[in-house]
Amino acid sequence: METRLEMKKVREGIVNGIKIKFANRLMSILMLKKILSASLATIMILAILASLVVFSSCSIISGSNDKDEVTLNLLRLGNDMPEAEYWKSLIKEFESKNPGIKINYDDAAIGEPMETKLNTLFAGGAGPDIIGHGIISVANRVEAGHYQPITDYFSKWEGKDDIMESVLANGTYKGEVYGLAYSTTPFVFAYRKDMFKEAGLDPEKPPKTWDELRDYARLLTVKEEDRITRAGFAFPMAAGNFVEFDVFVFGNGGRFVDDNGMPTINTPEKAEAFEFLKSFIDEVNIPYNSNEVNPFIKGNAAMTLINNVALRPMLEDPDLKDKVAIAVPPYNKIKATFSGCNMLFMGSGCKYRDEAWKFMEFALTKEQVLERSKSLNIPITRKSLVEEFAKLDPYNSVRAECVEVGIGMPRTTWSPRFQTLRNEMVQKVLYSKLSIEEALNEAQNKLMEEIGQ
Amino acid sequence: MRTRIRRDDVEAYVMIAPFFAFFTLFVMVPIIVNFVNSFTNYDLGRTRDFIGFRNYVRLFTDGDFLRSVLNTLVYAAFSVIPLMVLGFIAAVSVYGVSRVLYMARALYIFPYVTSMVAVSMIWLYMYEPTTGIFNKILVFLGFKPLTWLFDEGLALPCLIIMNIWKNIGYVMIIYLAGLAGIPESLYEAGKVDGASRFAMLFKITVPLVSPISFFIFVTTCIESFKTFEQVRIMTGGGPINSTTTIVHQIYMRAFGEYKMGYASAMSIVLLIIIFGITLLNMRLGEEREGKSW
Repeated sequence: METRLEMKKVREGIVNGIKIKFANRLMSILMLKKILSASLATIMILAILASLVVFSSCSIISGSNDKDEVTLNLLRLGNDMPEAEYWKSLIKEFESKNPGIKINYDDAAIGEPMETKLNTLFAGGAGPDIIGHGIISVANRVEAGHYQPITDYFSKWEGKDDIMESVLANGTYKGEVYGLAYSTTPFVFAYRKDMFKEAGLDPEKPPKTWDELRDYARLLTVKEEDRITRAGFAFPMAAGNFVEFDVFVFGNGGRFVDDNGMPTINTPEKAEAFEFLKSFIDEVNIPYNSNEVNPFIKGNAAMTLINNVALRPMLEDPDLKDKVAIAVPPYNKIKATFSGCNMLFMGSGCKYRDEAWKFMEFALTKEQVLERSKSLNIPITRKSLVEEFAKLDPYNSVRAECVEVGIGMPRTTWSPRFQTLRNEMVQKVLYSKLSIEEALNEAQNKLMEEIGQ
Repeated sequence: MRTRIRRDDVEAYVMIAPFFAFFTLFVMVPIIVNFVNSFTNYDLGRTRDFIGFRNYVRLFTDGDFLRSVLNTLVYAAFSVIPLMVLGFIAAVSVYGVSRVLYMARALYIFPYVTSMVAVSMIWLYMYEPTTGIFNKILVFLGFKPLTWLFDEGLALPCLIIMNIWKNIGYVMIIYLAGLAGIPESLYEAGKVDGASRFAMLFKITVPLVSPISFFIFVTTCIESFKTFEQVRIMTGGGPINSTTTIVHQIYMRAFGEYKMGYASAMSIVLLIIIFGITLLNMRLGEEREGKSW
């Protein structure tokens, strides 16, 4: 009996022990849950506070005035290191000369990264005060209300009569000046002198006409059986922006926009440019797209059309000294090339217009234009500097000539769509998907439909 | 007791609140805004007029968009099935406990954990017509070189092959988890009954990993429909739109041409397609489960 009672006590003791342990565990779990909940709630509150801080700082992003100091935000197209370094040093110099003004520098890679960044900033009400952007942005961003006119400042500017007309035209829209060029990026004709010598051609006489270009390309092409191992003339075949085609159109006296701002794609000049390209390109080309390196840069092509800035590393390579040269692209009727142009624009939300203009003016002084030419090989944009620029580098006279005969993208609201359709059109012709006439008409009709809409 | 439950409820809500806050802010709100924008001609600027169904009507006559839908369907169809088959084979072949098998698993996983941008750049060089490794191999074997990404008929298959190579590790790891969940006793029973390895594979392994297969099918399908980076980097949608996908078209229209309203309509169509496929898969999955269990 006693044993039973003892057993019962022991059992109760065990059960109680388990209960206590369970209760303790439950308590600890509940405590843990409370701690977790409290932590999560704290994290949430902190996150909300942090976002409020971010939002509030965003709202003052576009130009702020802290006591006596004005802060301006600059966003530049292109993220290459040498140019970024140049702009940072220019800002430093500007700030030291203008103690009340601070410039925040930012940049974005050419193409979609820049568009995405800028669109996001404007959509969030934090558009930059000063924007360094290209021709294609002008019409769309003016119409979207992202840029404000600077005609009043321009009319009083000391350099207004010195800026090249072709360059000034790039930033003018509907009679108002919106952007002033700080750099031009003409497409130049690049060729390998050593390969010219090998093929028995005079390295000092690059092709000047379309016929010469075709003949030279055939002579310079190297094949192993059916396979082209060295392109006589490298021309893009997929992706990217086919401005190389524009060079031939411009050189044949063609344009993509008429005086009324309407597209002119299906004209004889474009058909002739296509006929010329189709007559030889498959025999002499190694296909590439703009996301790849041009075969010319890799040493797999003897001639190409290339952006002046993209060619710079090759011209500076000691191993290629005296082996690479540039010239104005060969043409059929008119000496012309495609020339991109980067300009400084004033953002529509800029509150400190005088200060922003002061910076723009500083960046466009003769000294800075020349400094950019020296350190970055960028062609000058002011007429009075042509001679001085030519003395800086043996190829600068070619660069200056390319800027002078350079034509940019159409400054219209349909330019971005034009770019897509032109790229499609060029591929359809080069891949023989459509006849030249069909491709030209299709692109024209699609663009007209777009404008009509 | 009631107070207890209420307190638990509050705790539960607090626990799931961060997810819902994130989901609402970054998924639901953008979907709603996008839906509204799809009925406008919003161009990222001042224009945002209501234009009814015009964007949707236009989609059905837009050759580029229709081509992108076709390309996306082809891409998904030819990616998902090979991925599942090859991923399963990979999982079965590296399932087990040994250092060599662990190393083999790691090798399969490497491409999956590598960024798509980096992988695309590497494959871009491999497909290069003059210096690329694939043409060098073809020439070495006595075949004619190909223009790969510059060939209208080959460009999309080139992207599909790269996609399969990159994602095989993902499928393998999910299947490995599924294989680990199959009780060993079933195989032992199979052995006792004299079943061959193949018989056990098709009678035990394949049916038991079918929920996993269903999960993989749905996720790889959705991923295929979201294809973008490799197209952007390797082909830019070309040649002649032969590789453009729905997301690529959305991107081009939205950020290349600022046609946000039109791009929003495209993305709503993509959302409906993905939703439809997922729903169909789930229905089929439910029916299948209902029959087999």
